Amino acid sequence: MNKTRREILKLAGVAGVAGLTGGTASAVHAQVAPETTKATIPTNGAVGMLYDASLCVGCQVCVRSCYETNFLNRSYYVDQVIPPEEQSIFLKEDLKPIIAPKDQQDPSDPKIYSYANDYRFRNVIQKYVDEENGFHFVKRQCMHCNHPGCVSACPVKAMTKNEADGVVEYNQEVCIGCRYCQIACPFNIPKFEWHRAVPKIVKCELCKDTLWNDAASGKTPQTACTRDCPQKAVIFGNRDALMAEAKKRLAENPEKYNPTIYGEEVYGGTGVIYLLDAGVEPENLGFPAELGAENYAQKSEKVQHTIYKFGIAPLALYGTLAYLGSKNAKKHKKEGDDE
Amino acid sequence: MSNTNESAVLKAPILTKTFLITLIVVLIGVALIGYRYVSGIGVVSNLSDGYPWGIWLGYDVAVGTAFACGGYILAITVYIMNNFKYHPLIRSAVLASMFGYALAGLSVMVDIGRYWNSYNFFVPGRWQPNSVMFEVALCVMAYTVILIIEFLPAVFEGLADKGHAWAKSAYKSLDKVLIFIIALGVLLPTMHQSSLGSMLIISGYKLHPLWQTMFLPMLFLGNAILMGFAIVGFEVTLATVGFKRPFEKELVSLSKVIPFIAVGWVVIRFISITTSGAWGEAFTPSWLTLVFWLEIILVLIPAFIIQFSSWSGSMRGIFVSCFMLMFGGGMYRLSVYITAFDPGSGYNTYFPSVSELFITLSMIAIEILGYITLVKIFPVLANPAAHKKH
Ligand code: SF4
Ligand code: SF4
Repeated sequence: MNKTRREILKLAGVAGVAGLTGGTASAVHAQVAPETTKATIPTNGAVGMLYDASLCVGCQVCVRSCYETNFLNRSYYVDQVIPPEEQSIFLKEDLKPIIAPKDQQDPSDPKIYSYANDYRFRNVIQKYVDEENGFHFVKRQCMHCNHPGCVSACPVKAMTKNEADGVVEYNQEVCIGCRYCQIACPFNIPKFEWHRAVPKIVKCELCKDTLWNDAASGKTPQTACTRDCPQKAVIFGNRDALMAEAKKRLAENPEKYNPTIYGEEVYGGTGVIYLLDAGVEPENLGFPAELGAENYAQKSEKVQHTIYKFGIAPLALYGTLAYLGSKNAKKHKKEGDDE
Repeated sequence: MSNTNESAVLKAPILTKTFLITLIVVLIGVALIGYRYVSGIGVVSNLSDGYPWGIWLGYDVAVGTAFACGGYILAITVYIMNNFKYHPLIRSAVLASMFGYALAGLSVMVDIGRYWNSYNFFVPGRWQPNSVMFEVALCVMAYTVILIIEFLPAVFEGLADKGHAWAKSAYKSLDKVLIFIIALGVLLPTMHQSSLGSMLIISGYKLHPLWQTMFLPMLFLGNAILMGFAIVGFEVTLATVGFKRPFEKELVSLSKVIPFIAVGWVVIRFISITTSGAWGEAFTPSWLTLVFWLEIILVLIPAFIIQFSSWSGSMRGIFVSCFMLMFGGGMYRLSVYITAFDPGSGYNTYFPSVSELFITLSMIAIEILGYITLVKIFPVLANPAAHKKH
């Protein structure tokens, strides 16, 4: 297994854009580096990631890092007996877990393992085949939306958006497993452990509870995928800084990219943003075509709050009902007595 | 006790063939539920990350509580609109509603993955007022309690008739405050039945444009009222035939209000389609288009029968109209929760598994079982002897 990985890494070196991206990435990180010692939370606003599709070679090192960090080594999984067939995905050397939705998979690759809807993967690389231009890779994980549907939907605050760093976090201690977050997420991100008697929701939390502790020892907070991506195709940082970086790349190579930064406006903005190849639209990569700038969570909250503002409407209705009811009941009783 | 003799215990044996058959269905369902708790939801159901909600929510909760709106509708008709002549119908409707809501609650406990955490609904620090589900859950739980209280008079009356003196005084004191409980019993369904619609607004594009609209709360409320009337008609005609009782004529005049609500509902539906600019979708040939028009037609035809046809005076006419309304209304709710819900490519389209269906079937069986047993223990059904008085 290591051989494959090393080969991939070599391949990445040959591709030879690492110098350029490495530099820009550290520039971004410089702005994130927290001064405090507590420092599990960068104090200068929302963080996120920038994925540059033009740099991704589809090696899936990020998938493996995430899988190891957040599945194999996660405390609540370590105690559990994981059946061998569940562990073996990365043990089989020839198994390449590249995946696109069934109807868009590359039929020429028989070794595809479907992990896009697998709770063990918080981060996946998908491969989309396109008749004219060959294929495209895209990294998918939680977008850490500015106004997350999952947070708005969750009835018990098991999904929350951290006010300091914007990370959308999940708390299994309070989650009731109603799966409203899955209904509400326009990117179909939260996964549920369907086959477990004690299931939970699984989704990317930007490695906040696994890797950010590094920050306490003076290191920059990192996610597994951004730490290990040999291409620096995905980088971690302050969202504003990443946005500036994306715009810079766009301005320097306008012919290389789709001019719209995906995530700047879609669904009211997301913490993870994407630079896509020129000529490739988000819907070609499995992002929902119908999703525009409108944020359904805000819309739903508006409807709900209009109806229930300060509880005035329910109280007024109750008052009216109780008044009419008791008046009628009295009247009825009197009539009954008269009979 | 102003309404003694208005209701009576049904004098019939409890252990019947229907009882035993439903009992078997219940037992199989219980076994499957046990299996679900041991092996996980994925093992018994066809639910997936793309279709996380299936018939346990779409049918048992969304449709089931609409079928349980009889108590709500009669509370409005009798106490708020001051039509006490319908009072004899109220107990059987409340009983059916009580079972409908309790069973919806039970289904939720089967459906949610981390049920042991549901106490968080009672921890104010965990309340999440932005969540539509939070509001629905609290209202539904509260309303189930209200329904139980609304049913208590029948229990007290039954016990009093058997000679328990305390039951008589309990009945009297409950009678004094009952109207304030009943007012809550009107407020709460108004709130959560509309919110059951709001629940899907947040799913955005996943719900087909013919169903996704800001009018969802209004449409669900209207639908609940329609189905409430329909279920009262359905239950009463069924009890008439099933328990061989005289036809309760009150029903004919009660049904007269249905056409107005039905037409109103269709008008709102059309307005909602216009505002979301989805009329094009209504004429593209597809299964969903067919479902959409069926939902409209199954509301309009019964309205037409009741308003214009001489059939509406007969038991059969009422039964058929109410059945159509229930079918069309139920279909609308299922569409919003399941049929018209599409998370995009990459997921197998949801269709319930056999075990899933069986669990839902057993919930319905529990309802039937409870209903046919309790009407033989407590004075629930309208008393045929007291009938002429009204
Ligand atoms: S992508 Fe989905 S899961 Fe992630 S924050 Fe947005 S709504 Fe929540
Ligand atoms: S499944 Fe858990 S996290 Fe998701 S909405 Fe329900 S309670 Fe919240």
